[in-house]
Amino acid sequence: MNGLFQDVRYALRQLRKSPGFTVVAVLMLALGIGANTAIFSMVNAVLLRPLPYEEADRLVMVWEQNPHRGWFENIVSAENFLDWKKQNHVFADMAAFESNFFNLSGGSKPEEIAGERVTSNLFSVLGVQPVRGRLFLPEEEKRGSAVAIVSYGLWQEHYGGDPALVGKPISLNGEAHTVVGILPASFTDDYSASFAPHSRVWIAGLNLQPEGREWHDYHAIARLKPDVTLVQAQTEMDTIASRIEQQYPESKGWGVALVGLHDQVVKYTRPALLVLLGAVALVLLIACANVANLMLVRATGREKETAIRAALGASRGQIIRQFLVESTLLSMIGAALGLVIAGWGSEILVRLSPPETPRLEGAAIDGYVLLFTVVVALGTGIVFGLAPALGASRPNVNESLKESGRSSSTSAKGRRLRDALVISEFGLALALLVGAGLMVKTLLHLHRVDIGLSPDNVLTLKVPLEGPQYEDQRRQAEFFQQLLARIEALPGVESASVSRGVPMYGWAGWNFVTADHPNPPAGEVPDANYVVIGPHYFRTMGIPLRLGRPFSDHDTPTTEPVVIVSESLARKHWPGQDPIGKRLKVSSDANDKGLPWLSVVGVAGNVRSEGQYAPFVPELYVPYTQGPWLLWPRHIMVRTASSPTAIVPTIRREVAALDEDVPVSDVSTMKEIVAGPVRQGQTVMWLLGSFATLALVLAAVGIYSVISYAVTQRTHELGIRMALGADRRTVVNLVVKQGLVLATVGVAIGLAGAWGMAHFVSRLPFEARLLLLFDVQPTDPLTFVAVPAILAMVALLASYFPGRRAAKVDPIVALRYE
Amino acid sequence: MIQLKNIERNYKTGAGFTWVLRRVNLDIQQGEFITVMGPSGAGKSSLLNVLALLDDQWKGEYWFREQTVHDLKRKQRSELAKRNIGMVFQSYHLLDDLTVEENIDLPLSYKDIPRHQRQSLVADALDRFQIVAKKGLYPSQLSGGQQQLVGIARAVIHKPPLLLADEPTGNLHSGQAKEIMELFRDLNQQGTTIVQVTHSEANAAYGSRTIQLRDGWLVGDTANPALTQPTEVSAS
Ligand SMILES: Nc1ncnc2c1ncn2[C@@H]1O[C@H](COP(=O)(O)OP(=O)(O)OP(=O)(O)O)[C@@H](O)[C@H]1O
Ligand SMILES: [Mg+2]
Repeated sequence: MNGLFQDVRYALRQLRKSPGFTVVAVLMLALGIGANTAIFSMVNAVLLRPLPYEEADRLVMVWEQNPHRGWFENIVSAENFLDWKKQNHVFADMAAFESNFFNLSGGSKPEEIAGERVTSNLFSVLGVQPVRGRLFLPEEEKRGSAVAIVSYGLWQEHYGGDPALVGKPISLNGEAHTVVGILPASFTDDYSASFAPHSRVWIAGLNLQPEGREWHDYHAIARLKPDVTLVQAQTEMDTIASRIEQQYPESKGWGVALVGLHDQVVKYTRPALLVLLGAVALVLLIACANVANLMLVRATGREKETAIRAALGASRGQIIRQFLVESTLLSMIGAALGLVIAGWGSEILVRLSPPETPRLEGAAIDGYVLLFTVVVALGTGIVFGLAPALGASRPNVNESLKESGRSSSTSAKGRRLRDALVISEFGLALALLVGAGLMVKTLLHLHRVDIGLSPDNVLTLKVPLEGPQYEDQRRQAEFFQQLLARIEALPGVESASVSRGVPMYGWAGWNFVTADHPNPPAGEVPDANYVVIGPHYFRTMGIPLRLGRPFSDHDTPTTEPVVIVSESLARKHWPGQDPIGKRLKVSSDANDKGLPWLSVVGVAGNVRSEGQYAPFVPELYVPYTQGPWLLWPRHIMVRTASSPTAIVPTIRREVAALDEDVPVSDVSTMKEIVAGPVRQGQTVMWLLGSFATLALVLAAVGIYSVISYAVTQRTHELGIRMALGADRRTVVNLVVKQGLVLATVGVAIGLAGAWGMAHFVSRLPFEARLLLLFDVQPTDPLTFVAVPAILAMVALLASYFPGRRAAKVDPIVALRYE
Repeated sequence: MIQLKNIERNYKTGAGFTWVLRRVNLDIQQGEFITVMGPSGAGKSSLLNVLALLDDQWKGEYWFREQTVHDLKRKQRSELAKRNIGMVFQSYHLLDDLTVEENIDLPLSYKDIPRHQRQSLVADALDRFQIVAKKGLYPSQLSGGQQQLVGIARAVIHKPPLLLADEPTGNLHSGQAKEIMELFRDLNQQGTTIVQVTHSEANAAYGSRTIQLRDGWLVGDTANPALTQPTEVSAS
């Protein structure tokens, strides 16, 4: 122990003695370790930290799935849910909920908040206790019980933390609900991370009743029994599902999919985080290689010191230890500075992350992150300290102690090692740059994809009409008619429309049958995206009308019921025929007397309404002026002459002028919405790009230092060459060539690695590839040519400067001191 | 062939200058074999570096045949040296990582000579110096005398009219030295002008003319017995 202390003291003195080396090494390590710590703080918060529920690893989401039709993780039907609950032996309990939006009135201005109607046992399944009041009681399951539990955030922001809120009524969609409980602050973030909308209120009364197995409406969550695994549960649920499938024809093709709650929460973020973690690990490796290089150079400078120690009886182990103490000390100092960098870094990361990233709130440097950093620093110190330590621990005592011993054999070994380090740096940097390059390429590619509408200068906002006064659809239609007239009269507005559903906001699939095929077999009923729109919808969204006419205000409840279909729907159901005049019914039952046959009056261009990357979804559009609709329109879209956000306040005023209790929410531009699905990929791309750049800079520093060192080692040789007629350019070329050779070998190895990696990623499922923004040929020629070219340029520059210094070698001096 | 007029060279040292060459005037005729002698530190190597055009921080006038070297740019000087001058060093200065053959080829590689011609030139040289058997060896595998043989072969491979040798036998024993000197004499007889630096009277005997340097001054020249002490009067 005493010896170790001495080693540390000696190491500190050594580091102080060469401040230049120490500063450069610490900086590189700090960058490497800092980047790792920052990313790990995210990994820790998002992936590793358990969900804040009691025994959270027993919680699973229960989905339906219909793989034949490409539906996975589908919401579930009430009857199936009830059957599962009755028949299973694997779950301790099951709960269901229905996502909703509620207009919360009674505050300073109307507000729309996300909330859920839940079965009364939801919170006990999750294992959550309220901070105030109580959870729902079983008898509150029945519809109309009018009790609510609110989130901590809503309690604080909307009610100022009113200690007497429990027991008071709040108005949701114009109906009074009594607050019975308030949930803890920690609950909200993770809960809303699990289930898309940021829920702030829960109301009891989701009294599940049989309503037809073809209606998939509810989320289901279950708690596994203590000794049951996910696989066992899945097996049993498969059995139950196939029994149901055989029993009920409308369930044909439907099965059950269990997803662990934690997996469910993080599954879209995990690949991105792992990619980033891999990237920073590579950056750290490069930094390690650089520091190892500097240490090697120093070790050759200290051969004599080591030889004296060995001559005085130091064992090999003791010499290695001395070197390792020094390197570990360096990495610890680097880690300390790295923590500071990581502190800023993780703040920046949180800010950069797309808003839908789950569980970020807890991202910080906590005990686990600290432990990670210490382990990484120790590992780093050993990794970059070992090579020089091993090299130095076998000194050729004889040679080194001889006056000015230039033992060419050890220096050749050292050179090979240094070369190998630079080569691997270039390989790693290349892999990172290729990764970033492929992402950039994908993004450019996605930007060029024709999504079927023109998102520029289009504003969307949500104007939900709720409450008893809007029960009658005609009242809603009147409201929208007046609102649209007011908006279209505003200066700068080109057109406006109402709609139910915004492209890329998801799927409101609905079954339909055509008059030509009124009786499709059960389980094969076609479906389409059901969109309620106003007459100017296509003009506003920039969707071309291929055939027929748009809707007009003359399509009313008393005229012939009409529908406009998308090209893909028309082509599929009436191939080679004129779709105009064809008839369809939005129901799985052609004999459904409650719903009218609709005549096709137009065909609209296809829209990638599930995102740039997804295939076209068949759509059917119905006019809002012609009720009854199956879904209520809620969105207003406005096309403006210039930047659309300027008119938002005016529109708010117009809405308030019509009904001051109607909230305006979800204001965003169509451009933002279109960018939504690739936002995470974009963030990852930027981060990966930055890390790749950092890697490139480090690799450049690496090659620079190796070549510089080589030049000092080669002074004599260069002097001879110059005396024999080599001119300055020849000398520069000689040095630069040395750098280029190293870079080229590194790039070649890196290319092989990157190629393999890209092929691996290209075989991942489509969804995963999109999350990683990877939708190009894995051997995208541009990337695979441009990136090596960039690296070659960098290597050229980094070796040019030492080369120029080499050309200044004075042959007289070089030859004199031999 | 060469004419030096008032060549001066000094080094900055701390406060002032150290003079290593002082107003050196020297004529070298084609075909001469000159020996430069003088005590250690007299400026012999410095003079050779000036002649070799390795040094370009001297003052004075230097004619190489018709060329006014003092007016040439650095690039032109090295071009001139490349074509006309070969150098032999006391410590051989072979490149450790190159074979004998590659070492000899080195000066050719810096000229625009086609590869096959280079190969035949190198083969000739190996032959002439009787080191064919050693062509694949590295310098560390040769004796000192053999290394210097390679050094000379390298210096004359491109048939320079002027050969400069700075104590070429300084690291060799007398037997080897004799061999080298005989080689020089042969080369000289074939027309190469030679300037060698040596401390050995025996070596000097091979030459046709001896000059003496002392503290940077040219103080004796067998071709110019009139030269005695410099005219100190006009200096400083
Ligand atoms: N680069 C230099 N910087 C400073 N002084 C130098 C330098 N090169 C040579 N000198 C000085 O110039 C003087 C002449 O050196 P030079 O090498 O020409 O002597 P020399 O006659 O060749 O001696 P030796 O017989 O020992 O080789 C010496 O005093 C030496 O110290
Ligand atoms: Mg000398």
